[in-house]
Amino acid sequence: MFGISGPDIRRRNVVPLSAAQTALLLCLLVAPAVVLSGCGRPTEAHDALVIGIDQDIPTLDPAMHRSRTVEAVLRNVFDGLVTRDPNMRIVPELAESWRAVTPTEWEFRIRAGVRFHDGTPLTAEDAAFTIRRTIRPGAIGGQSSPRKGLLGSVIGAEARGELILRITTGEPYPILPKMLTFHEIVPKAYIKRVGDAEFARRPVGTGPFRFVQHVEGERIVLERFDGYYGGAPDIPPVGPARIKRLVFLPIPEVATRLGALLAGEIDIAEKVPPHTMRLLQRTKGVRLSTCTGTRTYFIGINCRRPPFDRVEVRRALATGVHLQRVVDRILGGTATVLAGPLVPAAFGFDKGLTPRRFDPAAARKLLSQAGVAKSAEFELDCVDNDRELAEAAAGQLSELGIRVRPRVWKWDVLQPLLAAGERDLFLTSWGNASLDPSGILLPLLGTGARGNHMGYSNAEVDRALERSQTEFDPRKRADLFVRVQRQVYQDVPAAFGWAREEIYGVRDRVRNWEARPDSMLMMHRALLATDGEAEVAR
Amino acid sequence: MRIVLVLRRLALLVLVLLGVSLVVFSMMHLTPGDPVQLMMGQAGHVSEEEVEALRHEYGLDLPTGQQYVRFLSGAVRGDLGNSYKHKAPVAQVIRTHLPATVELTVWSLVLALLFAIPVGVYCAVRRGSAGDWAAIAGGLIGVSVPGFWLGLILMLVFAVWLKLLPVTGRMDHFLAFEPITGFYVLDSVLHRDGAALLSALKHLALPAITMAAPMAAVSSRMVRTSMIEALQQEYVLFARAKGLPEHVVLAKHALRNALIPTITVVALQTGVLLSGNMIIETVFSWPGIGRLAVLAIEARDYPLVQGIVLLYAATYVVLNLGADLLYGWANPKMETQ
Amino acid sequence: MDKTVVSAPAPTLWRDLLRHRAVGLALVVVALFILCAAAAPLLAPHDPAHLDLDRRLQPPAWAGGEWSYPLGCDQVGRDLLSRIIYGARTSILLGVVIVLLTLVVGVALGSIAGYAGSVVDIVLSRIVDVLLAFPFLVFALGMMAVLGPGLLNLILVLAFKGWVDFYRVARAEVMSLKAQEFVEAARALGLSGTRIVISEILPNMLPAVTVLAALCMATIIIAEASLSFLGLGIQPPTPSWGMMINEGRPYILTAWWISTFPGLAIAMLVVAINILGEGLRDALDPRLKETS
Repeated sequence: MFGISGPDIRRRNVVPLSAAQTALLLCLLVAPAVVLSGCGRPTEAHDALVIGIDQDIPTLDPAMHRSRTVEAVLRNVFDGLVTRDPNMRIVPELAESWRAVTPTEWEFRIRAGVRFHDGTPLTAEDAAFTIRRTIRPGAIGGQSSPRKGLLGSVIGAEARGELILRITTGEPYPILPKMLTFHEIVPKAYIKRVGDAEFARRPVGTGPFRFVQHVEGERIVLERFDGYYGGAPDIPPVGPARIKRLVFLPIPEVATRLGALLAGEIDIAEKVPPHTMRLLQRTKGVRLSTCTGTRTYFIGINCRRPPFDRVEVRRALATGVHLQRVVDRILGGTATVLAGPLVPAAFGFDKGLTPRRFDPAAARKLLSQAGVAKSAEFELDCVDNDRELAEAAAGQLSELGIRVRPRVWKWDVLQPLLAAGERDLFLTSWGNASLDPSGILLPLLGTGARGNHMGYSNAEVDRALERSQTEFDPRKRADLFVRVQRQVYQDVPAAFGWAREEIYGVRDRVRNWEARPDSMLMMHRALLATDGEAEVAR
Repeated sequence: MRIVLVLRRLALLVLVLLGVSLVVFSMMHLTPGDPVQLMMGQAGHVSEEEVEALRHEYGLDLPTGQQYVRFLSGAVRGDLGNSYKHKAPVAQVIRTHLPATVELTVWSLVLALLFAIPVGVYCAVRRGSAGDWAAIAGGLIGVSVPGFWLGLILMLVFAVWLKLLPVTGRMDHFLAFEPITGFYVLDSVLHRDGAALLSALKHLALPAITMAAPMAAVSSRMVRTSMIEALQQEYVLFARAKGLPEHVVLAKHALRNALIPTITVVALQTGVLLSGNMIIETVFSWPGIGRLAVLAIEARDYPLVQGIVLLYAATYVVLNLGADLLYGWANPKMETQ
Repeated sequence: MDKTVVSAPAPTLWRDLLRHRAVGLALVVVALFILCAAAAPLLAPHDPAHLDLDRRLQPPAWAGGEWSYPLGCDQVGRDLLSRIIYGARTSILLGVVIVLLTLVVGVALGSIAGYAGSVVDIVLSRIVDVLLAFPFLVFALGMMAVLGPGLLNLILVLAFKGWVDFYRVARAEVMSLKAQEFVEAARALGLSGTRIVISEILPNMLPAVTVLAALCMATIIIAEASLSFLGLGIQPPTPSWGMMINEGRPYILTAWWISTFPGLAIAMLVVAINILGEGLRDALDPRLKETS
């Protein structure tokens, strides 16, 4: 296994090789070295904007993934019916306007004069095709889209004329416009002609950049689409993209991604860790771009397992861990401590709740009242990326008189154990790019829900969540969510929590681009200053 | 004689592959973790029906035995199924990632041997000298630090600080290079593109050195040992006695015999390298098969994992066979034993 | 093949071994590390598991830190020097346990296969073929997924594939020794197969196995680091060098000391063990003895 012990070679009477054989062997070995010695030319300057992303892009079909990185890249090639502006407001993109005709029927008016990269005009039929392709089993070359759930109760879509799209839902679905931000419109005619597999290799969309090349695991090259209709009118400036070439390089290793930024090989590095911020600020020609993300981090508590089935114990844990200190120290203050599962930017966020105050004395008292033995031992699970946070939190919890040990897992191993309810405490997170509570409260806190590894169950919460699904009145919906947040605050199924800032390292020559909460890498409006301009700007 | 040997080994290949397929299949299916849940991630708006439908589509709702039969009968026909993650046939996914790994491996081997042969010979000749021990110690650095650490340090020094070599990838993206075979050095020669060739070689340098380091250490030891033995053989003593110049004795009589076991070891090491390079591939963003394997396991992408493991196993067995044939070619006597 | 039977008396072995200064030096280094591991509580200035968030990423003393934390602190403010000293314990213990485990299993099975031959040999050898053909890291990731992370599982994973090396050496040695005169003689005297293997063959196998054990030990220490990279390492708060290097990986541009010092520790110990192995090989292997 270690490759040290060789094969079983015993000395035998070796017959010498002929001189020719030896010469051949040596030539084969030496020739490449001669070629290699010519290395060492510095990297050339170039006019492409290059972004280092943190993972490979396994497919280019916008309906065939559940990855935010894939979406962040593809959003440059494809547009949706609606999109979000930098403040996460929903604004029209390929749709000009929309309305709910009945609680279960929606009508979207498609923008006229939009063309796909292959020249075909966009019609309502393309939009209807996109939606049908996503919700129908086996509709994509015999495979089903994993994005069906992102269309909730949508059951059908059809074109009513050239530019009118009718979407039908099985039950009232108030968040349809929000959810349509996750769906990029694909060309029906092109896909019918070349097939789904070829479409996934050479995609065609209506976005500001057209696809040029994808070398899997290595790079995705896009080029400005000159026939672009200009993008969402509500997000100025409107017009074609301002950079000529856009390149995405998957660089999974953090240090390598940073190294590439420092060496000038890439212009933007995503997911930069907080501890490197000072280095980047000190570095000439590089700046930072940050904003609070949509993912909530928390320490889940398994409510089914004694002693955590008692709310006092859970409250003790949540009171006895100084999350503010943890995120200040480990994340360099690049996180916001939260009172509950929702981030402040989310719909229905309860401003009335404040994060629990750290009070170790009260926590100790609660624990001893609940009769938790001083020697009690628990494990706090986490994945490798969160190990520092978990170690710090476990250290604090251990000062309450119990023993909490961090345990570092790989997510694929931990996930099934959490789902089976076999663990005590776990530091984990839940992403909610829709910023609608339906994307986090429901799957995280509903009884038996997919992400409810806490085993939390509260009939009132379930009822409120159920009602929120079909409630059209935004104010009533928000009230329902506030009620859920208050109940959850009382029940403490987890020590909430914090939202982290998304941090990007950006070279100065990149202008007019800032980090977005939904971590989309929309480069439509970005531009590249020439070297001289970048110098003057400093 | 040799044909019989090859045929027997090929039959063995089938047997080993069958064993490996059984091991990998049961390992993956014993492993907790649901590919669909992992694909959906920690995010909302996932319906129960959707999860069930995908599980059905992947055949995960079938009894395990039936799934194995399904996989095996497909594999026999050359159909390894569709990757869950890439939504494309496994064979195609592997084919797009394989050239990067093979190219890196080959160049690492070349570098390793370029170091190992001269150093090994020197050490054998000056056996026990300070130079010998210095070379041992120096060469040992290669096997004595974890590959990813060495890689990061090299990257830091040569790419970030000195800016002599690129940090990441296989080729400068602005060269608009269209791969033909996927082996970039070869492709740039085929394109008659000097800039691309240079770029490919520059991108290869750091990962190849990182990967070559442990191999260079092991094979220089091997060369040294074989050379010491060869130098004690009668024909070398005889050659010396004849009054041939020392360099002729070394090169003509001793080295070329000493090389045979080295090359055999190296051939076998290649198998180890092919599977051990996922770490270096990650550090240098090298889009090869090792990284693909890790990601496939993490995603419980069963068809892809099975495909990659079978490929590894087949490569290993074939290289083994190759090593034996090479040995036989150099030692005709072996076969008669 | 004419293989002389070796039974180097101990004093000769030591003399051969120490003929080179490098081997002597290596011996000293290894001894120092073992001392570190054994006397860790006495040597370490701080509790290696005690974290102090205010000292997070504190640099080494000469780079702006404090002399009470000479090598600086790690990503949660633990003393790096103390962790390296305690880490020697983990790494050496891990190496020794796994080497012993793989040695016993490998040599036992290898001897059986080599001595018994025929069906037993064929069956065992095919199993070994499958094991060798299986990519190790894929195997490790799979096993970890089945067993979950932890020290015991790490040992099992490393040992499960490691015994093959010993198996192959033992098998080859037994096969070649079986035909030797002294074994034939023992058989003629009516000794049983087990007795012959234990009393006649095993002692003669010792040199080859000792060398392999040294090399194996070195590779295990490195393998632990590689497995840490893939998230399969030792659990906190137990310090291990491999895990420390891996924890420092994202910090390599900002806090180089976290992974550099454990990296140096690994390099020193592994180089020393390897040199010792080389020295042993030279001292024990008669084929490599200088004729002059």
